[in-house]
Amino acid sequence: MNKKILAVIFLIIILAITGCNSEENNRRARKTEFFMGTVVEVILYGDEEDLAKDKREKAFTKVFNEIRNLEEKFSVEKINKEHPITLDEEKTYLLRKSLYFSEITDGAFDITVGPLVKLWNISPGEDNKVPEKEEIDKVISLVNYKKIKTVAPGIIHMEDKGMFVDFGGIAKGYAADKVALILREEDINSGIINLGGNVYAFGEKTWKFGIQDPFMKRGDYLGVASLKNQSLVTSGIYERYFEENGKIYHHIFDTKTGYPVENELLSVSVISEKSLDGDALSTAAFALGLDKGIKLLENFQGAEGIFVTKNNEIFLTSGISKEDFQLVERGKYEIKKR
Amino acid sequence: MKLKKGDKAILLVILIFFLLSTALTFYNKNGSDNKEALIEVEGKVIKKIKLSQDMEKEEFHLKIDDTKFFYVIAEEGKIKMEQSTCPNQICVKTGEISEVGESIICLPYKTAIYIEESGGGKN
Repeated sequence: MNKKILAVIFLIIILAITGCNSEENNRRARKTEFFMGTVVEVILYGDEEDLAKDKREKAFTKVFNEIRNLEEKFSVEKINKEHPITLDEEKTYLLRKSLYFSEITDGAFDITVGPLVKLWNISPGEDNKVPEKEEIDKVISLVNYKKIKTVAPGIIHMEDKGMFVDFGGIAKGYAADKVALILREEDINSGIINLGGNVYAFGEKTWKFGIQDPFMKRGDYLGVASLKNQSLVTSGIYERYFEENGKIYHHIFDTKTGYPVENELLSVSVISEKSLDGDALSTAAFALGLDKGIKLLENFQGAEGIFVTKNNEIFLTSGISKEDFQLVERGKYEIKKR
Repeated sequence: MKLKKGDKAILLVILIFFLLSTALTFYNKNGSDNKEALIEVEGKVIKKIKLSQDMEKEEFHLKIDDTKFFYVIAEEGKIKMEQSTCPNQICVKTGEISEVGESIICLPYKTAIYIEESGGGKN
């Protein structure tokens, strides 16, 4: 997947706080590789038998083959090579999901955002600058999911030249869900999948994850979320941004203006049953802002959100209990009610 | 010399205290000696460093290729990327890590440092 095209959450910020004290005989096995322009970590957890060498190697091989496969399959170049675009069953499924999220978020999530992301090309440490207004205006008309037309089953046509489809905002979530499925098939009882910040905790064990404090160095977390067969995805303005004339330009774009989203939020973390949902919803909720973002998640079955604002406030959706999310003691953040 | 009952009791207490503190020291030492930093490039472990409070300081250049370097420092049970030639410097900004499960990741150079328990599941 083209890494420039992450109009998506980049690295979250997970610090897997492994709470393995109570099950002393259990061990972990980890494998890390670099895919999809990010880091992919798979951690398996269990007793000697669960993690027997043959068993775990087989699981790892299957998982990383699948991710390699998906990376290739959903690469922007490959998907947009010919026009009209032909989609197989899996891509058709992702397209349908994407368009659904575009509809319910009024375009805050949009798989045609690619031309805008490409124009800004925000890459930390490199020569970044704000594009000219005319350039942005030219590109913004190309960002509109409504201009994708299905001409026949599995064949889509883009209305404007220069438009392209990019599943980068949803593919990592999809991949995480698929990996969890594979691990279950391989009879692995418990573990963590981390696809560049799309985290999925699977199995009967509850895992705790730290959520990064945006203002501190990486690894300092503001709170801890507990997950069991759930995904955690965070979208935020940190990690991927540049500064020009004292102003911060980050990587989540307002699909209406063509500029990075500007609102009261620092980050949105979404806890959901499916990582695919969390992937799309965290980006969209962030772009929509606090009020509309909370509304979006309250109306969505199977997803909850943790909203962090620039005023050091944290807002939680109604389904998050005290066990699900705990603030770090003596931190500067405060949980507020909406 | 014959020990009185009270003396014996005192000796016993001292002995227990001594044993306990030795056990505790041993236990603690064991705890911190169990950690190992794994340096991985593209998913392959290229170097392992035992981490403990009383370890000898290690600092070295980690060469990925002719233009890509890290400068790594490990001391007092902690490890960090002191310098990197990578564009985004996220690995350097991560700072030092010391606990099992923590990691330093450099995406541009596909390099990672993980802290694991020695002899854990990974081999």
